[in-house]
Amino acid sequence: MLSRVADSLYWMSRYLERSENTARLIDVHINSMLDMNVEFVKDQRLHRLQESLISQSEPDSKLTGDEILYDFTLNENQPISIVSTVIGARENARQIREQISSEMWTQINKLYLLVTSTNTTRLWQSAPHNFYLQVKEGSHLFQGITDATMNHNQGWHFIQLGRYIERSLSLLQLLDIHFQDTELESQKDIATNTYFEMVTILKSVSAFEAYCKVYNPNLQSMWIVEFLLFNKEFPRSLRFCIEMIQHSLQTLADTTNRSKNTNLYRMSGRLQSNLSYDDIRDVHDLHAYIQDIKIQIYQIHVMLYDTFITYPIESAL
Amino acid sequence: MTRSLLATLVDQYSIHETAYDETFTMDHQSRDAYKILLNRLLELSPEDLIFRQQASDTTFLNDGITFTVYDDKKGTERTFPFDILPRIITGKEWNTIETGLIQRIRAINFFLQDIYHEGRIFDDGIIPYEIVASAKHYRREMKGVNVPHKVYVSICGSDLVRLPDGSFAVLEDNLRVPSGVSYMLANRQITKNVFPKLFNNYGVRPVDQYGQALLSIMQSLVPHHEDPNIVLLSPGVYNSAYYEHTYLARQMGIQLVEGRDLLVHNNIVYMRTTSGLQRVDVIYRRIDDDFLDALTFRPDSQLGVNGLFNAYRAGNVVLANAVGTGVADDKAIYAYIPSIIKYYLDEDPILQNIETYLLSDEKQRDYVIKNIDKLVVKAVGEAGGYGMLIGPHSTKKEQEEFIDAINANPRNYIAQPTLSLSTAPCFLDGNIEARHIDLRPFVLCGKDKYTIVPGGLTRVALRKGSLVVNSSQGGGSKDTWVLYE
Repeated sequence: MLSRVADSLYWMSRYLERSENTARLIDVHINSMLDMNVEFVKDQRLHRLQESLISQSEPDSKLTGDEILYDFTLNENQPISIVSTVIGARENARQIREQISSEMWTQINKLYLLVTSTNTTRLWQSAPHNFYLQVKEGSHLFQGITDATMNHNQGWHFIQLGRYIERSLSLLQLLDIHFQDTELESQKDIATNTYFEMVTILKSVSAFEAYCKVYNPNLQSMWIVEFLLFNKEFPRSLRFCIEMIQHSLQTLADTTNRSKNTNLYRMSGRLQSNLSYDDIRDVHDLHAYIQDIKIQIYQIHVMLYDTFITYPIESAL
Repeated sequence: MTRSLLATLVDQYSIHETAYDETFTMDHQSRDAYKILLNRLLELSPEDLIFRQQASDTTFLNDGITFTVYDDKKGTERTFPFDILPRIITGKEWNTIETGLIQRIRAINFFLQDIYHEGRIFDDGIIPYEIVASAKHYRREMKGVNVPHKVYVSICGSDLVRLPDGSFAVLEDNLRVPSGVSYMLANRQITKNVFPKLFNNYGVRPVDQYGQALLSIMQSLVPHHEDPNIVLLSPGVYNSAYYEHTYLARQMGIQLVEGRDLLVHNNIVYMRTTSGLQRVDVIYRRIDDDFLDALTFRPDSQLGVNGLFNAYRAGNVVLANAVGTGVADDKAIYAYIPSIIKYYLDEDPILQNIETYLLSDEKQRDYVIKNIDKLVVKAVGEAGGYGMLIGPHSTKKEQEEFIDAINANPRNYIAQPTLSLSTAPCFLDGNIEARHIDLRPFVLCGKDKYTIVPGGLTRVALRKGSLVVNSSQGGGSKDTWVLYE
């Protein structure tokens, strides 16, 4: 398959995953604020939301609460807003329209029309939950249509890679921000405030129900982190994401006749096996642990490009 | 028995006074080929017909069968209006068209080989060297370049018109990157879906094999390879014919590439794939010469591939069509095509040319300027209905502007009599009305073989009285049925 096509599929998928994550984070945030009346905590939460969404630049502190939410949702000049990322996904899909199924194109186009239509602002103001729900559903539907209508060939694996790389990075960002100043606890009595905070975190990655099935509603921070990092079955856990990445990388090596004896495969293999053997009780500095994994994922992204897409010509002749 | 409403509509159909009508004779009798069609149509109600028209419009929209209009601020993608009443060509008429077009393309390929090599035709005084060398699409860079099997033009889409006496004539040859073939194929699909009963047992020759035919033509151009890598080079999503590029690539089962997917190393063309670099043997290019290679042609081109022309000259890649074919569809050189056919093949042209005035000739120029209100003036290097003046439909001011332009650069213009293109009944807003049409069949030439899929794109000038059929100028299209008999 053409490298350009792989590139577009990868970014289409990353952008769309990003819009879904942003929609879920903001939706949960708005909902959790309804239960909260202490101004100080409200500000703190808002600040965390900003930090969870923006990874590189400093958040703009001059904006008020509603302005921040608008900025992340409908501001076309904000590159990480939902509307910008949906436009990015659709633009990438448009470049390779003949490579994806027509059902996929119709679905991503519908989502695009939803977020760019003239009455979107009104819909968002009057029923924000409804708006975010539609974005999430739009993305879910696209993923389902993709799995059901597209050949599970190379292109499909690049879509998978985009989705899981984006998903794991945003999960790590979320964990890092929320647990940066807290000791991980496993047996503490939980105050009401903390309880709500833990629920928020879990819901931000739609993990609340899945978590409760494994640990009961015993919201200890240590078990939450354990669940989100190391659970093998939950589709938004880090380990699950990395296993999907590893699986797609393996398939790509087989279908393109490439050696697996390269840094890319050493890196992803090592990360996968670390995650299957690591234990939360051995993680003493969560921030450092997360930073380390983030760097490894960035490197996987870079090496993925070096191997399949932007490889130097000399290496390929 | 009461006459059906549709029969009344047909009765009210007014036949053009001068033009040849495809369906009816002057005394309102239907022509033989259309008799069964009309009888079957008359069984339908107008509502039925409207319903079928809507069904076909919806299909076009949903399938995204669109083209792009440049300089249009209101959304750039449009569907190509489709008229559901088919146009029929009899087997006998088709034979003339087929043999005539093949004769023409053979001669044109000889001509191109000659002008880019020995130039015998200049020495023998058939056509002045200046006319060829000054053509906008003449490529000096092609001098002495050997083209595989001497096939310069592999794909040609000549525009034919039918004159009042019922004979076909060639209005122009499109020898660079002719487009429209996807509409020929899509129109047929839709007719079959919408009018299965009408179509059934009519003896219409199929056209669906076009993609396969094109592929086998491309394969025949590579001499040494068992399994050549053939790609379609498109300028990308912003090009007006992008839909057609994706459609053809899919039909032919080949990769659709853009310039940025290709690279040249040591005069070999490669495409960048996830499995590494892959050599490219044939490029079906849908990019004009100008934009192919910034190192040889326009340096500002972002669409092409640097170094492509050198790889081509070295014989390492086949381009279809070859570079420099546009010189032969220059509208001034068009005037010489009958002599070109005579010179290379020693045959009389089967299809006639339209009488053409060369404005670089002083006498002809004077005549044209005096009679500009009766003639059609065209810029020689343009296509798509741009840069032309239709005398009888123009204002004094437009005529004066053209006269100034002609005097400033006479070589750049030709003039032709205003033709009465043939008309055909079209179903428009619940009425059946006559509109002018033309025909663009697609000729394929490979190594020692010529193929014309029996059919073509019939374009319709949808505006009443208009003679301009181009899609960018408000034209539509019809399905074209070529019969076995």
